This record gives sequence, C-alpha cells and structure tokens, in this order.
Amino acid sequence: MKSHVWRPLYVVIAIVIGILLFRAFYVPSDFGAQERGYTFGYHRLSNEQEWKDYPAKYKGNDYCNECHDDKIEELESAHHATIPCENCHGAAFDHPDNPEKLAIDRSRELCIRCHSELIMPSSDRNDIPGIDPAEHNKGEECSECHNPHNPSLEDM
Amino acid sequence: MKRRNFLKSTAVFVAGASVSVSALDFIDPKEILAANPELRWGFLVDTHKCVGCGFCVKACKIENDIPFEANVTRTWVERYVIKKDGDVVMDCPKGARDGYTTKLID
Ligand code: SF4
Repeated sequence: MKSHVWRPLYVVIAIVIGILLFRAFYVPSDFGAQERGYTFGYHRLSNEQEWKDYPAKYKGNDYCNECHDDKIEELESAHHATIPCENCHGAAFDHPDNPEKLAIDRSRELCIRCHSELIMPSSDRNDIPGIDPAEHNKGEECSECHNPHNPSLEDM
Repeated sequence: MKRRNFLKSTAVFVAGASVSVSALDFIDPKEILAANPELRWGFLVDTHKCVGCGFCVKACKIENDIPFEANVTRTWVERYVIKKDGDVVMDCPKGARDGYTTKLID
C-alpha cells in the first residue's frame, strides 16, 4: 500500500494509543470498579463516604420534629399531612444555627401549585380542592383565611 | 439472566410493588438491606400520584445548587395535553419549577 494510505492510519493509531495512555493515567483505578461496572457505579468507590458525609440542605420532617413536634402533630391530623414542612418553610440547611429563622413562603403562587383547578385526567390532582386563582379572592394571601397546617375552613 | 431467575425476580418485584403505601411505612430499608445484602432496589413512580406541584423540581435545584432563575433543571415534570383535534402537546414551563398553575400551555 502507498504511504499516503499508511500515514493517516499511523496518526489514528497514535491518537488511540494516546487516549488509552491518558485514560490509564488519568482515571483512578477504583472508578466504576463496582460489580456492574460503570452502569450503576459511575463514581469512585473510595469517594462514597465523602458523598455520604456531604450535608443535605433538605433535612426532612423527622429533623423538624426534633423541636417542632407540636406543629407536626397539628399538621398530621389535617389534610396537609403529606406535605413536607420544607415545601413551605424552605430547606432547613443548618437551622436553627444557620439560618436562625427560615423564610416561610406564604405566597399565593405556592398554594396554587396544587390548588389551581386543572383537569388532569390521569392525575389525582383532580381530588384536591381547586380554585380559579383569577377569580378566588384575587390579590389576597390564602393564609389570611386558611390555616396552612389545617386548611379546612370547617375545622377552624 | 435465566428465564427462571427472571420470573422469580419479577414475581418478587411485583409482590414488592403491590404492597400498599401504608404498609411500606413499617419497612426500614436499612434493616432489610442488612438482612439481604444481595437485594437490588427498584424505583417505582405512580404517575397518578403526581399532582404537578413542581416541588420536586424546586427542591432538586436548591439541593444541587442549580441556578434558580436560569431555565435549566436536572429534574423536570412534563404534562401532555390532548387537544380536541387529537393533537398532543407537551407542556413543561421552566421544567415545572413553579408547578402547573394555569390551563394555558407554555
Ligand atoms: S410535581 Fe414532583 S413533587 Fe409534585 S407531585 Fe409531582 S413528582 Fe411529586
């Protein structure tokens, strides 16, 4: 074969060898070393603890319950029982150290995420009491009438 | 995977999936995993349960430090609207970061 055929081929071979060498040096030996390879292990084995120790911003209701058990109890006996505290109160981060106070989202926009009446034929959304935000007490905050922890007006 | 194993694991999976949600409250995943280290978990989403509130999208952005105002998300929720003429449109305003609050399609 003529050299003009070989030359690009050498270049390609050199590039492939280069990539393999780079990979051998650059990819840590415990990367994707799990039983099923990369598929469910696209990380370093030795790195797992590091991620387990990584602080989560959302702490979950159990964390809130450590101090605010009275509020959780109130919430759990009412319609909003399934809603995590942090949906409205914001992620806890290191509360009560930092931030000392969480900024509560009392906006209409928050409530209508669920309570704007929409027809969704394949969703339980239809079972949630819904209003038309353009008609229902426009411009007012929902929490002026509804207690978010126990939103049924009959119970108030 | 052998046919037998496949049928077996399918049966286990279906059995697990049909446990009612209230029964799941009593199961501690850590305990189960300690007793059966070979266990592999499945992730099931009941799309009927999704109400389109978008809180998962918001939380995902905050948890993973994704710029909140920028129109980028790692998690998103779609809805599909079938129009009277049979056309199907996909709707996903800002990845559903603020939920679905109007009948309007973005
Ligand atoms: S939008 Fe997200 S948080 Fe809200 S119901 Fe659906 S999956 Fe759950």
